[in-house]
Amino acid sequence: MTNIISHFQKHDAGASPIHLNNVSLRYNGISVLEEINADIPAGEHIAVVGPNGAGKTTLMKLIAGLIEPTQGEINIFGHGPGGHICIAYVPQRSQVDWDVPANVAEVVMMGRIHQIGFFHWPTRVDWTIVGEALERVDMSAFSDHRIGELSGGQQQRVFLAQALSQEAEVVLLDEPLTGLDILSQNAILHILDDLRHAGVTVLTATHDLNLAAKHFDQVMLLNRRLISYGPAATALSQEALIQAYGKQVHMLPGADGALILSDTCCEGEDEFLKS
Amino acid sequence: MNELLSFLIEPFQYSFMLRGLWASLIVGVICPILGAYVVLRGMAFFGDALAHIILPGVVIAFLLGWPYAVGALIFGVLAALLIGFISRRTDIKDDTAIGVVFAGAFALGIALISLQRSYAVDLTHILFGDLLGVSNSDLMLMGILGFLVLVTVFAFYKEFLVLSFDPILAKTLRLPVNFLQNLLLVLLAVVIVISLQAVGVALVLAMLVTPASSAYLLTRRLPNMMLLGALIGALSSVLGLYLSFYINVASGASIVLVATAIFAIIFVVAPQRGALWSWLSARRERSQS
Repeated sequence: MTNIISHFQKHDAGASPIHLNNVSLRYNGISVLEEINADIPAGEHIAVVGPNGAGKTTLMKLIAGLIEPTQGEINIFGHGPGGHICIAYVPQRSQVDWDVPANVAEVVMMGRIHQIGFFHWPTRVDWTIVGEALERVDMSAFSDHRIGELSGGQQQRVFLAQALSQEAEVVLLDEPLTGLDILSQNAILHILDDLRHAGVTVLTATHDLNLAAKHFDQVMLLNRRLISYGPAATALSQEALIQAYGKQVHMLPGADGALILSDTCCEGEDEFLKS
Repeated sequence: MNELLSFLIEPFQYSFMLRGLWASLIVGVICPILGAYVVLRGMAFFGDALAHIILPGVVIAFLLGWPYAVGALIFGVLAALLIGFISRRTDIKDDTAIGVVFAGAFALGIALISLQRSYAVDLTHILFGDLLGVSNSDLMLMGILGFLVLVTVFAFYKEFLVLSFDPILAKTLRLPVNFLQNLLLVLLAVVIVISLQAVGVALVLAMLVTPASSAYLLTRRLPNMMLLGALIGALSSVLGLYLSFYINVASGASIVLVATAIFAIIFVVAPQRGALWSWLSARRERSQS
């Protein structure tokens, strides 16, 4: 998985999958992200948390190379994100046209478009890879189904299968767990663990602090600035949370410090940054 | 039996009818194949506008003695790029930008025609087609352009599918999104030029969207939608020509009417996505609860 080098941009040996150097983004005079510095090693599974408008979606889009920072530098394996085809990005409110007549297998195959190449058609090898990807997300039974017929959790799994078939090494997921039931959430978290063990770097934006603390080994706490970054226990310290959320977070003294009760959710972030 | 045969054969004993048949078949097959993307990407208004926008191009080409297709293509491509430019650079919404360019260019075309003496005759031919006036060289041009469209749609099949499915995905996969979008617009302009003589600028839209959306109601995959659309388009062309011959209706209009009738039938009876099916399943659910 990790030894696939894109024809587009070669990966520098030893360079980290994601390196953010003083990254800022201003949009119409409004500061969306300020001076983000982070270095994310391979195979990490990181939760990106923060209040509404903290810039989680913007950060994802910057790393995906869909927008450019106004200042600073983003490097993916040593080069700017624009030339990479090793990045998979699953937006929160995707612009997917669910009415397109395509079945699940075809949608997963879309991830392989560069491996297939212009003027070529999928080979048996490509179909095998797609079949394996569907198997890993436990969606083989739906291979012939129209993509529009699936439930939200199933659609998320198809997008993960697409990232697998793409042989992506950096996977960016924007609120993949929102609106899913516990079973679907666990299924997706399980797949993400699989990816991590295969050396893939996964960034998951979520508004659910409990989930972030429980399931992710590293947490990025964001509110325009990077407030903390590290293991959940330290990154989600009481001071850090107050700094990020102000009074939005209610805290109760618990057995091991603080118990996070609530955080208002998530819709409408970065509405003005339509790409 | 013999009567039926002669009924079927009679129209095509005239060579102009035979050329008309070939021309309408080319249009009937090519339009729905590209039309699948017009339907999926919601470009119906754009397609209609583009058809009208090429009017001044056709007139200018006619005045300069060029082949009409050249003028139409130049205007079609320029207008497509201009609309994109207006909506990207200002706060004006896409459909407004299209409306402005569409109406302006169409007016320019009418103004240019009105300066000519043969106003009435030519305008109706451009607006509603002149299937029976198709010459051998027209037919050749239509065939070549149609073939090029088919080859391009085939060659960029998977890229166009990704673009229709999710433009963000297309960008993340580093597909040349702008190039593909412009290519689709150019293909659209070419298909309109091909259809000009068969159905005219006012009815091109029907050939682009009606058979394709009929096929959409019946299929689950894009290749099937294209093939079935082409079949419905070809059937509409042939039936329309008979209708035109025997009851003396304008050929472009009768082809479009047949296509519309086929759509109406499929719309009602199509399994799963048809109106009747939805009504029945809604009733069944009501009676169960």
